[in-house]
Amino acid sequence: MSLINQMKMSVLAKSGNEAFVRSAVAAFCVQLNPTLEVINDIKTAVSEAVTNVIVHAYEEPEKNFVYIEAELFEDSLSIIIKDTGCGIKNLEEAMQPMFTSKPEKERSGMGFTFMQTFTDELEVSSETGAGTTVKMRKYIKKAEE
Amino acid sequence: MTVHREFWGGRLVIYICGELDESNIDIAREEFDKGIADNPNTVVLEMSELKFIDSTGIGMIISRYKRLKSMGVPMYVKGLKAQTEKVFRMSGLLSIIKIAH
Ligand SMILES: Nc1ncnc2c1ncn2[C@@H]1O[C@H](COP(=O)(O)OP(=O)(O)O)[C@@H](O)[C@H]1O
Ligand SMILES: [Mg+2]
Repeated sequence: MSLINQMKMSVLAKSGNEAFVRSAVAAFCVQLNPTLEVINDIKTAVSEAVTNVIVHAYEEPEKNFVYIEAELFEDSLSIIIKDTGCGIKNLEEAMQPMFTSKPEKERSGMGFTFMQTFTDELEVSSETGAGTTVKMRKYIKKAEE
Repeated sequence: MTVHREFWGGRLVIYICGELDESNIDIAREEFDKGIADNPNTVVLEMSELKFIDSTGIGMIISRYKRLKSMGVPMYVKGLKAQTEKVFRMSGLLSIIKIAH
């Protein structure tokens, strides 16, 4: 499938930027005329990945960046959400449904599960002390013209 | 996001409107807890104006659902829409929290 469009941006890891980032990524794929459900799935998955950077990656999130890349193909959107934060020591454990390292913050531990169920492909890589990269792909069902 | 509550005859209704995420979760949590402090006998989460929720909101709701359950107070959700309905369903919450019509 040929690449149609590319987008890169970075914003401070402030919770106030979450709505901006999920809306921006969703707006980026509107040129493929996706269904409302696809748009909502993308917003949800992006929100989870960005929230994790804000909540877990940095000691001082408001002074550090979340990096977002998106590539648009004829049939799909690929999304990368990256940080240069603390990384994840035990990735397998972190990706278990309901696992959270912050139960006292009433986190549900469902972030990775949502990224997985709301997209078609999820790939996470992480290095302690270097950061975490989340890659997702969503196939785009087109809305009726 | 805006949140407000109504209390009438022991019934607490929490209205959450707009988009709920990490940026405003503390405001929603605080309003919910003020409502619980009034000792309701029933709680309804009214979400017909809620356009977006993610696992941050789900975590806040589950923890209050558990607390209410241990107090013997039933909690219902009302007005779930496309995105919020799917997130509730995928989280498994729809099978434990009752839907009010
Ligand atoms: N970008 C990240 N940087 C560091 N740790 C992370 C990151 N993303 C996720 N984690 C770790 O993985 C765990 C599981 O993430 P998630 O499923 O989203 O649950 P939650 O955010 O509710 O804790 C987190 O509790 C955290 O320990
Ligand atoms: Mg999370």
